[in-house]
This record gives sequence, C-alpha cells and structure tokens, in this order.
Amino acid sequence: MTREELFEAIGEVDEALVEETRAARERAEQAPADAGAEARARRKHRRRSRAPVVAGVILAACVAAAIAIPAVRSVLHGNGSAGTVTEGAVPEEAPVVTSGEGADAGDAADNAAGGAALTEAADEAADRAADAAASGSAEQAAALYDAEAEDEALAGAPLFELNGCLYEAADDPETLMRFGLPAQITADMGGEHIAWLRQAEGSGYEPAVSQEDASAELLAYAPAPCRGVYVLHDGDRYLAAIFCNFSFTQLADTNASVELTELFRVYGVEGAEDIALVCETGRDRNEQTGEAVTDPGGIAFLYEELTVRDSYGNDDFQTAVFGGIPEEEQPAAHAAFADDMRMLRIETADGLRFYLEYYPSYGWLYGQGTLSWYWAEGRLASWLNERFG
Amino acid sequence: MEDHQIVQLYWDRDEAAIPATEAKYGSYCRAIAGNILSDRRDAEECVNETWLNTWNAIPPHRPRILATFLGKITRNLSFNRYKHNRAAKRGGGQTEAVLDELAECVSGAPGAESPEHALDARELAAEIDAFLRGLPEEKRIMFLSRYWYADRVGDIAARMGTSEHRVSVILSRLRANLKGYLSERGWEV
Repeated sequence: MTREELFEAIGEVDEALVEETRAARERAEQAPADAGAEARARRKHRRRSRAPVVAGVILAACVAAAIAIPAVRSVLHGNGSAGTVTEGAVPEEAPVVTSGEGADAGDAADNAAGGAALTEAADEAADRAADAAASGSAEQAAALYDAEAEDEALAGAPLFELNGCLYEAADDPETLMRFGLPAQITADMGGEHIAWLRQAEGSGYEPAVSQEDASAELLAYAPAPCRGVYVLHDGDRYLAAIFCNFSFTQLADTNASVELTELFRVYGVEGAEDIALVCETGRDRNEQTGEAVTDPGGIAFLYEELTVRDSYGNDDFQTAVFGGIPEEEQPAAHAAFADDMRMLRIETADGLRFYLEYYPSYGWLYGQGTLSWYWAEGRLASWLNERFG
Repeated sequence: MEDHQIVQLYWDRDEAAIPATEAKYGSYCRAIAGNILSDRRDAEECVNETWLNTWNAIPPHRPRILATFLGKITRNLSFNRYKHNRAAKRGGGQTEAVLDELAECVSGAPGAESPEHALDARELAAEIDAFLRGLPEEKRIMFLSRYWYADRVGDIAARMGTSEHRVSVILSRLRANLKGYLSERGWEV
C-alpha cells in the first residue's frame, strides 16, 4: 500500500463521517470564538484525566483571552461556575505570577489543563493500543480501540479550585501512589477542617455556603499538611484532593509563568532538606527508572538550580523552540519535541511526589504544576544529563 | 437554497443548478482544492471541473449529502491534478505534508500503485470507516480535517480551540493506531 492509495481510500469513507467534520468546520468558520468555546464546552462534559497537565502547546491564534479564560474555567469545573473555595481555607498566599508580554489571543492555559490532560491520557491509551497491535494481540488491540475504553482512559476525577489552585480528587491506588500517597485514604488521615463543598452540576465540586448546604468536607492531609494534597470526605468515601496546577484565573495572559519556587512551596518544600529524592520515571509517572538522586549534595544542587531559573510563558517558549521552523515542518517538530520528554519525579521528605518534564535534546524543563517553562542550560543541563543519562 | 432544491435543479436539467451550487458551496470546494493544490489557478480549475462533473453525475445520482458529494469530487479532481503536477515537478499545497504523514502508516513506495488498487480502495475505505467510528468525535474530526480535507494543523487547532502541538501529537498517535489497526486486519502496511 502506498501513501497515495491510503489518501485516496480515506477519500472514500462514509459521507456521514465527512459531513460531521464539514459541519464542525463550518460552525468554527462562522463563529471562530464560539467554536473554540464550543470545543472546550464539549470537553467539559468529559471526565478529566487524573493526570495533571502536560507540557508543550502552541497558542491557538484566534481565540481571545477574554473568551478563553471563562471557557477554561467552565471546562475545568464542569458547570461554568467558578467553583472557587475560599471559606475556612488555609490562609496561603496566591503564588507570584509573572505576566509576560504579548497577551495574544491564545489559550495555553486551556490547552494545557484541558487539552493536554486529555492528550496525556489519550497518548497513553494510544501507546498501549499501538503496542498491543504491534505485539499481535488482536483482542487487546481491538479492546483498546474501543471508544468507550478510550473515554474511560480519559476519565478523570472531579475538580475544584481552592485559593488559586486546582485540585482533582482520586481514590484509586495507582493514582495515589503516583503522588506519594497511601493506597487508600482513610478517616484518620483527615486533619483540620478546610472547607465545605457540594457536588457541582455535571462533575466536580463547588463551594457550599454552609455545612447544611454541603455534601462533602475538605480536610488537611494530616500526615503531610500542605497545599499539595487534602483529604476529601464525601459521604462514606475518603479521597485525596491532589494539586493539579495553579488556577488559570491568575494567568491573565497566555504568556504568564510561575517560578518553580512556588511549586515547591505547594508541597511544603522550603529548602533542599525538604526533598528526599529525585528520580526519573516512565511517562506514566508510575515506576521509577534508573538510579535516584538521594545524596544531599546532589539534591541541594538541583534545588538551588531549579529555584533560580527564570520562568517562561508559553508564548516565549514557543517562539524560542519553534519560531524558526517552517510551517510545513511544524507538526514533525512538535512530535519530535514530545518524543524527547523525560519525566522527573521529586519526592519530598513527607513522601509526596510531583513532577517535572525534561526535554534533554532541547534543554527545557516544564513544570506540570506551574504550566511554565524553564531553560535548563549550563551546569543544570550537564548535571541532569549526567545523573539521568 | 436548500440542498434538495439544488439537486432537483440538476434533475430538471435547469442550468441554474450550477450558479446555485457555486453560491452555496463555492468557498467550501475552493478551500478543499486550495488545501491540496498550492496554485490558485489549478485550484480554481478543479472547482470549475467539479461543477461540470456534478452536472454530469446528477442524474442519475441523487446525493444524500450534497456538500460531501461535491467535496469528494473536488478532492479527487484536486488530488489527480496534484499527482499530475508532481510528475511535472510543480508544487502542491498541504498535500505533500499530508502524504508524508500518511507514509508513516504504509510502506509502499510513493507514487507506485498496488496491482489490486481499484478493489482495495473500497475495502480499505470500509476498514478506515470502522476505525474512525471507534474514535471519539473530536479525534475523528481532527483525522478527517487533516487527511480528508488536508487542512493545516494550525487551522485545525484554531478551529477546535486547542493547540497545534496537541493536534500534532494526537494525529501522530492516530496514524500509529491506524497502522496497527490495518495491520491487525491483514492489510500489508
């Protein structure tokens, strides 16, 4: 089979499928901003991936930020409401957000949180499907191609916002382990009261006016009180409310960025002594691969280097990495960039885990919790390459 | 004018059918041709040929979805023109990039046709149909936008309110999935 034959065969697919696409194109062309919002609104009805946001977006040039931000919030919170919980919350300050230049019509926040979360889960599902197909397991491949199965892979946990941070709730052992939590969240892990919540329309939680109005309670995570994780008590269930990233309401423009220091603080890390180890994991953030860095000197070096990095917003990053690449070569360049990614896990002294993405061939780091980029040049790049191959 | 009214003009052999079609679907067909062919004149010629081919095809055809019927004619005419131009070393639009991406799914040499080409195309289309129906709507739209309509990745991203990077990565995964899917079903890819 040749590529031309494949192209021609695609031209012969059922007209109903082509019409579906044509209609979508037409809607977008007739009302570009609405179509962008419509696309995001469609995504809001999908259950979010458990995975925090993943890196690497190019700004969509035609969606006004003023439209993107409310639409992002509607996607993330599932019902168009803010879902911001503030009452009784730990009086943490909002992170310092650097607003960059060039507030172009773009929606890096939406893409990163909404789209990229789907991308990561979808990528994982597609990876497993491709691997299954390659290994000759027809049944496995067929199951993985099943749309429902893929939607399930993309299924996420309810979200809510607290003091400028977005959280997702999880109680499955695999997700809990990924973030350094026990396999099961129990009542004794719940500490001081943080806030009252109730179920939002669709999915997620929103603030409850009072306990009488509430269906759930947010508690501090007693083994490691910090903003990185809370205990969510919903009915007879106890779940972990896991930090995803800083709220997009604070990222007023698409080139905003957050220093890594803020991410460390979310997990109660105020110095290198609060970090237990750094290691590489698979892309799924499950198993550790290779040797971990546990020596105090190495950890101190990494902490020092990371916390002095300037942060870059998505606009600046995209210009730096992809700006000089011809348009027709962009898809391949983006795919190559995505393929270069190495996942780094930082584990705190309390056992909590969070992640950075490292792109060694390009010399960039991405904070999954900050949605920001960091240039890993010089000593840091040398150290990372030496320690993690 | 409604599609069924336009189709009836063809059946009535009323020449008003062509300007009516042009008015409603001219931009649509030009966009398809423009995606495949970089030369504006070539694209315009293919669109004009589309009207002629449609006039000759209706009757006996009575398209269920006129837009797709027209789009398919334009696509086929444009791709034929692209192949002709390529042989004459003239440029194409997005087509070469699209074909390069699809090349990841196949192993045959570019430009060469398999001996059973005519038969396989329909069967292959049926397989691709089934593959596409198994996808979530958003991904199916992305796939067809890129590989049926030959839309630019940036345009797809903008239209769907997402990032080019996300679209690129999803398309890459879909190509891998399609290759595996066809391979599993006995197609030599």
